Amino acid sequence: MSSPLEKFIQENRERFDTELPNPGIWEKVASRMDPAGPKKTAPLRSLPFKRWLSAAAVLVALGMTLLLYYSRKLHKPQVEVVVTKPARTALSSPQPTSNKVVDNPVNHQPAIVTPTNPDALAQTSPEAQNAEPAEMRENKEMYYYTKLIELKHEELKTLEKDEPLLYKQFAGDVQKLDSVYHALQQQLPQNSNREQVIEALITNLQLQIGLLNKQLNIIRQIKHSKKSAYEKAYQSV
Amino acid sequence: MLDLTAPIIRDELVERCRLGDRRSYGELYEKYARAMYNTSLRIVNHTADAEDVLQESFCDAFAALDSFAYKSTFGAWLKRIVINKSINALRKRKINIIDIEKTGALHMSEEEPDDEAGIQFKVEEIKKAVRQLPNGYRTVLSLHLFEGYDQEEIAEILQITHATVRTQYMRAKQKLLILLKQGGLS
Repeated sequence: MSSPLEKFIQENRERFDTELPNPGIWEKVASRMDPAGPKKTAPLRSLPFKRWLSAAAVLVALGMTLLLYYSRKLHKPQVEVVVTKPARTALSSPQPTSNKVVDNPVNHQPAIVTPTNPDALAQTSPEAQNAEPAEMRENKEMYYYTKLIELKHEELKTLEKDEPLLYKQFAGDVQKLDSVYHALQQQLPQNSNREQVIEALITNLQLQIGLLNKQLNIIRQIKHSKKSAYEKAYQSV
Repeated sequence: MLDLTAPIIRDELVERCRLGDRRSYGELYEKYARAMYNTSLRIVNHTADAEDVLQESFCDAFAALDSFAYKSTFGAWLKRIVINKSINALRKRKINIIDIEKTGALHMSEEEPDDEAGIQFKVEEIKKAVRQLPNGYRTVLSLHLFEGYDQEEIAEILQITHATVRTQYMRAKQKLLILLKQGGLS
């Protein structure tokens, strides 16, 4: 429905933008940007740092999708039904190592699965016996991972004093994964397909470890760059 | 679905600003300032107001750069900020966006397509005629003719009905043509 007027303006559009704004406007805009300036004057560190953060975010997203995938798969019923209540078995198996995991004040994951004593497991659920070897292996695996996570948390915790903001962000990222872990753990007693839930739990722990490793790497990098900057400054004196 | 699969073409200049490069902010300003100023000027019709709009728009856009998500080009995003601020500036001056003209254009029939035949269009004359339009007409007309928004978008921007946009635009255009004819004669 282009009329001659519309056509003419379309064809000569550029020629209508000829008025020039006062050149002082840019100065005003630039001066108002200053409060945000200091944050942005550290491109050396902020670039790799941002990249690392996005890597961590990708990991979290990956974990979520994996877990979603698994929890969807779980709706398929299977014949091999194993009914155990891990919360109860965990309570009824006072292993010294597991207590340590729970009592440790450094530990940020209050309800990490504690390894269950196979004897106690057999007592509470005799029908679970043929599934026991696999379950034991899985429990061992989970125990190994939780221990590893605990150690890494301790290492990460040393960062809190130096870089409280960074630590907060890191802890938040891990917490996201951890909350998914707990949600899965709660599903465990009700869900008919135990094996897949456990598998998802293990995957989650592995992701947490991966994330912690990345975070620790970042910290090492930061420490290293700080150290070398310090040394440089010292040498120049 | 289309939105998810469409590749995001990142504006290199915008990305450099996001990384904190001060010089890129200046480049971004240089690239868009003139077009944005003219866009604002056509709506507010007042140089000091248009300059205020320009300054405010760039400050806001730079502050919100992190939230810019490439749903449109950076230019289109910035232009939308400029237009919103320009309309607010008009409203602050207590100007009614919808003109109810008692004379002239209102009584004109809307079906006069041949009206503009035989007019020799000239950029300067059109600019002058646009400046003479009442505020409401000028806003609707420039949003459509110069900024390329369709009637639905204009209705949303100005918070008026689709039908109002249509009639306002028809009348604005008629009025503009009359002004052009008068200008051509004198």
